Amino acid sequence: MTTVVPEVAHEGEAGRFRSMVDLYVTTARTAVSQQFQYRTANYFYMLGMIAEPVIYLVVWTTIADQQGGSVNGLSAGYFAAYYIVWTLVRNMNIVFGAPFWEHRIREGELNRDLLRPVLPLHYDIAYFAGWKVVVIVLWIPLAIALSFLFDPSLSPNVQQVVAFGIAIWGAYLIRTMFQEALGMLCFWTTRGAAIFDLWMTLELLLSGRLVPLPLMPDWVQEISRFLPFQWAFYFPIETLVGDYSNVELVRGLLVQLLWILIGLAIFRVAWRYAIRRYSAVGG
Amino acid sequence: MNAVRVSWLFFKLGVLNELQYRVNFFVSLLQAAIALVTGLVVLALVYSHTEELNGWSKSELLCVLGVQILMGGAIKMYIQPNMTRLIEDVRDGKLDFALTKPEDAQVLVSVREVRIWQAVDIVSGLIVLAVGLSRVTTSFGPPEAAAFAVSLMPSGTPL
Repeated sequence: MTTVVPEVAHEGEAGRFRSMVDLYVTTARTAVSQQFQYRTANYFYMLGMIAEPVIYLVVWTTIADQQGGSVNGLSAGYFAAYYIVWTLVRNMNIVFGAPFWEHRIREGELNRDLLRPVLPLHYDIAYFAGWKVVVIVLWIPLAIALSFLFDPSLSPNVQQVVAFGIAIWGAYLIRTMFQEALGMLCFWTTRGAAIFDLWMTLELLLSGRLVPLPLMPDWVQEISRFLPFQWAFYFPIETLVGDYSNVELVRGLLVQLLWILIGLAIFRVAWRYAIRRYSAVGG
Repeated sequence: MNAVRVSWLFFKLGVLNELQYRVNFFVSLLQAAIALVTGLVVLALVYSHTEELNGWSKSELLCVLGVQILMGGAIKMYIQPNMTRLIEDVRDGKLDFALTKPEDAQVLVSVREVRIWQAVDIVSGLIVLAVGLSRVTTSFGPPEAAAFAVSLMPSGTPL
C-alpha cells in the first residue's frame, strides 16, 4: 500500500514559500473585504485625521504669505503638495501599533496566535497591507477635494511616480517593523504608554510629519539622517513632491530597505527574549 | 441635588480606586512633560521662521496652548472615560445595570468614571497659561479673568 504524501512536503523550500504567499494573499483579501464593509467608519476616521495636516498647512501657508510667498525657499504651493501627499503617507503609516501588543497579551489573543505555525508578524503585515488597499481607494477623492482647496504645485516625472508607489510600501514596512519591535516592551511592562509617547514625539519632530525637514535646525536634520523616522515620512513624500534625481530615488529606496531589515532584526531578537517570558491562561 | 450627591459619591469612589495605582501618577507626569515639550518645540519652530502668525504673537499662542492642555486634561479625566465606558456597556449589554438603578440614568453614565492622574494635565495647562499671560502685552483685569473662567465651564461639560 502506498501512502499519499501531500505534494507540498516534497517541494521543501519552494512549497513553504508558496504557502507563505498564499497566507499573505488570503489574509490581505480578507482584510480588503472586511474593511470595505466598514467603509463609512473608515472614511470618518480618515476625515478626522485630515485636521492635523490641514492645521500645519494653514500655519505654513500663512507664514509663507507673510514673507512674500515662501519660507526658506519653500513656496505655499510646495507646502500644499507636501501636506496633501502627507495624508496618504500617514495613512500608509498606520500599522499594528506597539500599544496594541498590550491588548493582545492581556486579552489572551496571543495564545491563539501562538498556536498558528507562523509568526504573528506575518498576519499583521498581511492584514494591514490589505487594509491599505482600501485606504488608498478611499483617499483618492479626498486628495482631489484637498487639491481644489489648496492649489498644490506638483509636477512629478514618471520615475518619481514609480518610486513613490514603492516608497509608500517601504514606509509601511519600516514603521511596521519598528512598531512591532517596540511593542515587545509589553512583555516586560504594562506601563509602556510613556515610552510609546516619547517615541511618537521623536517621530513627530524628526520624521517630517510636523514640517518638511529643511525647516528644522541643521543639527536636528543631522540627527534625523541617522534615524529611521524620515524614511517613513519625509522621503516618500519628497519622492513625489521634491526634485530627486533618479540616483537619489534609487538610493533612497535602498536606504528604506536597509531600515526594514534593521527593524526586522531588532524585532526578531526582541521576540526571542519576549516569548520566553510569556505565560498565560485562558484566551 | 441628588444628582450632585451621586456625582460626588462616584467621584470619591473613583479617586479611591485610582489611588491604588500610584505609579500611574508618574507615568502621567512623564506623559504630560512629553506633551508639553512637544507643544513648546512646535511653537519655537513656527516662531523661528516668523515674528507673528496672522497677528498672533508667541505669548498669545502660548496661552492658547495652555488652554488646550487644560481642556484636554479635563476631557481625558472625566468626559472621555465615561463616554468610552458608555459605548462599551451598550455593546456588552452591561448598560442595564445603570438603567435599572433608581437614579437618573443620564447622570449615572456621565459620572461613573474618573481618571484623577489626568489632573496633571490640568495643572500643567494652568502653568503654561499663567506663563503665557505674564508675557502678553495686552492688558486684562478681573472682569476678563472672570469671563474666561465662566466660558471654560460650558466647554468642559457635555451638556
